[in-house]
Amino acid sequence: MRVTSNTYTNLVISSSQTEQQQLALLQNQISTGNSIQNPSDNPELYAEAAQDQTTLSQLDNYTSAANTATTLTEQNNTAMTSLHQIVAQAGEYLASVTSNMSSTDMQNLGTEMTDLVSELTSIVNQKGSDGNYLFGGTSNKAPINPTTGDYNTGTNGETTSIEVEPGNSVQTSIAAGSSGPPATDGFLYDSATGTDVLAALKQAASDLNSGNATAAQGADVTAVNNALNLVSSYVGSTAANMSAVSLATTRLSAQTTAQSNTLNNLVQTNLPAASVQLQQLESQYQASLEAGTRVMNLSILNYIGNVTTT
Amino acid sequence: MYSVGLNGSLYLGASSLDAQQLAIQTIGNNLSNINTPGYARERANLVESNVVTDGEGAIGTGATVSNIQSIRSSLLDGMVQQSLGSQGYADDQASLTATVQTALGESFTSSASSSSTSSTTSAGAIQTALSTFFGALQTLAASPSDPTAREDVVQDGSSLATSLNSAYARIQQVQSSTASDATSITSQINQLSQTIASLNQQIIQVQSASGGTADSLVDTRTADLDQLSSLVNVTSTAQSDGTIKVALADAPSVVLVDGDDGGGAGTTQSLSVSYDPTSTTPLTVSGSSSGALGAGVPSGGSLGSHLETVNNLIGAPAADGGTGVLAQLDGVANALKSQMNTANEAGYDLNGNAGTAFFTGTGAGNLAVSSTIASNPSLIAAASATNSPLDGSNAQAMANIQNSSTVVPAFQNVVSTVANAASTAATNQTTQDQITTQLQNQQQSVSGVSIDEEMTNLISFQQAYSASARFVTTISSIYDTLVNEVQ
Repeated sequence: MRVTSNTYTNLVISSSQTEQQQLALLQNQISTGNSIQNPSDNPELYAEAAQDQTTLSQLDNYTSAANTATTLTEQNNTAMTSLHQIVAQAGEYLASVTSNMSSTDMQNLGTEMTDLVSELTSIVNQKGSDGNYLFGGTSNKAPINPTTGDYNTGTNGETTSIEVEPGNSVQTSIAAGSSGPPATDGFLYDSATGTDVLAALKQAASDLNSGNATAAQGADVTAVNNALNLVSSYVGSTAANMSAVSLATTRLSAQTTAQSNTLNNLVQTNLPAASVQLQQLESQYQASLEAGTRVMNLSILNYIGNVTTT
Repeated sequence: MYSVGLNGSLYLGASSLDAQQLAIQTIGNNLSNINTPGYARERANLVESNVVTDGEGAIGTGATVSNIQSIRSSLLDGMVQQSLGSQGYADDQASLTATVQTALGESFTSSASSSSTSSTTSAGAIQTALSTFFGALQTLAASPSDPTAREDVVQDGSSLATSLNSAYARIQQVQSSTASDATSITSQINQLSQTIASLNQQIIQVQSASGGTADSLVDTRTADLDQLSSLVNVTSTAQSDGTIKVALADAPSVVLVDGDDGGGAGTTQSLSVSYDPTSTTPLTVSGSSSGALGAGVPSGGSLGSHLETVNNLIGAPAADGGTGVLAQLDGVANALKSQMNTANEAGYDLNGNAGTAFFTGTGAGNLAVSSTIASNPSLIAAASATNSPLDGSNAQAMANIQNSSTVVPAFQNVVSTVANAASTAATNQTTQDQITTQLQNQQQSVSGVSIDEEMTNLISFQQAYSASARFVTTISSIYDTLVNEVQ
């Protein structure tokens, strides 16, 4: 093939363009830290990375929901544990009643028992940071009238839950329940056994205040024991909910780390490899420019400066 | 016995000087035009002058230049011309698809993570807005009575709608600018057609006046034809009178240049474009007498690329029957709106009332959060039952729309469509670059000027000129001797 002067020029321009494009791409990858910036850099990789990104966002959202669920289940469990202590304390007061106890001592115990009812009312009617009753059910009704200590008949027994993982919802609110009407089950009332925690404590306080040792040692003990069993079951169930959220949080954290690593491995630049490649390209570019310059400078013109004619 | 005599020898020397001088001038012309686009090197073809025969045999009478030949290959010229048409298409496709991709606004960015020394990667505006919106709904599901969570859903829904609106508007702007650019391209095509026709006319005049060829005009016409080919794919046919006839490759009946007619004169046609963004085919090309050409005609050159981008890649909105990026974005927006509205209408708001439509609009261009809900976030129907302000199950159902194949995956499909188009266009551009470069190198190997070659020839002709001059001097000296002896 015949080679002309412009062949060299075109070759140098073409090769320097190609090498500069590669250098620019590599420089961009190193400076941004991403092996692809635009989807067209590698459509297949982008599609995979975009899917990973969506999954990662979903995991972040579930993690956020799980954090809320953790707070709520811990609040529930703390409340049930406190409630359990109150009912257990009531049982201890009743256990201390003797047949020959003076009326003054009985009244003192009655006063203590009334205080326990107040504490119970306070726990059951506590509000969350958003001002809502924690145990009012989904309709946010006050489970016990704070003034009278009586049930609000409209108390809603339904509970709420939060989806902490795809398809895995954890109960995050528990209803206090009430004897009604209408009767609704909860940690204060169980229709199946007829257990009524508040009524048991109020009856015990009344019997103690009136000096009815027989009732205090008999029916009241049975009622408070039943109340203790009901509250204990809620301590267990709220602990189980708390544990379920904790396990979900652990799984979400592991998945998030794995997914994040996968995404970063897909998209982010392998800096050591890119640096070596940059050095190779620099050397290649320098060699290309030097070779081009040498060939372009080489011409017969350099040798015919003094043509003489005879 | 016949003899050429001293006068004959002098004429022989003079004709040799003329021939060498013409050859040297041709070399000068080649060197001058070494970088002139479309120029083909010329060669002075020297032939022996008429031979005189006498009794002792034939004797030469010197050398003359028979013609100045332009060295070119019509096969390679045609292939380069076709390749330039493909090159024009590939160059513009690479540029236009990259512009559409930029307008879509989806690219990866990395930022340092707050929780570790590693960095986190995030996707583009719309993908991020989708994730944020569904995340806000999930937060609302966990805290349905929290006014902040409700406000976040409204804000993030508005951000998502705005992101879609903005991307849609940017792509529409790219479409409009591309259509406007196509108008400019047809103007250039019409102008070049007139120029080529004018060159045809000049070539006929030169050839009829001198009886030879008009190489420099042919070179200029070739360069113009190459330029025209890069704008639109054409076929050119050489005519017996030295002119060329140029027509659209996809529509041979649309003749752009015919003899000395071009750009709409005589039987030729000028091109024009019309743009209607609401039409299924927004951009159409028309011939001045043929009317609108078929969809996708012309298919090559810059104009072909502009048609492909406006009509197929971007296309018309979904409501106007389009299937391109705009219609696909409309599809994503409408699917999101439909599913969100259905879900919100199935639930109950914070006041216990049935939900209403969450999104309004007819597509990605005007999607918006309902003004009623935007002004009163308590109307978001987070609960599945009435009077259940602590129930967020319906908000969770709305958050799960994220898993619907017609929303997030559908949007990722839009990005992939544009990405594949841009990637393919970039690859085609590189390939076409290489093909064109190789063909141009081959063309250069035939028609290009080599300085070394020309300088070598220059020395050769210079020396021949010097020798001829010495020959004339010698004959002149002999003449002088003869005249002096006679005296």
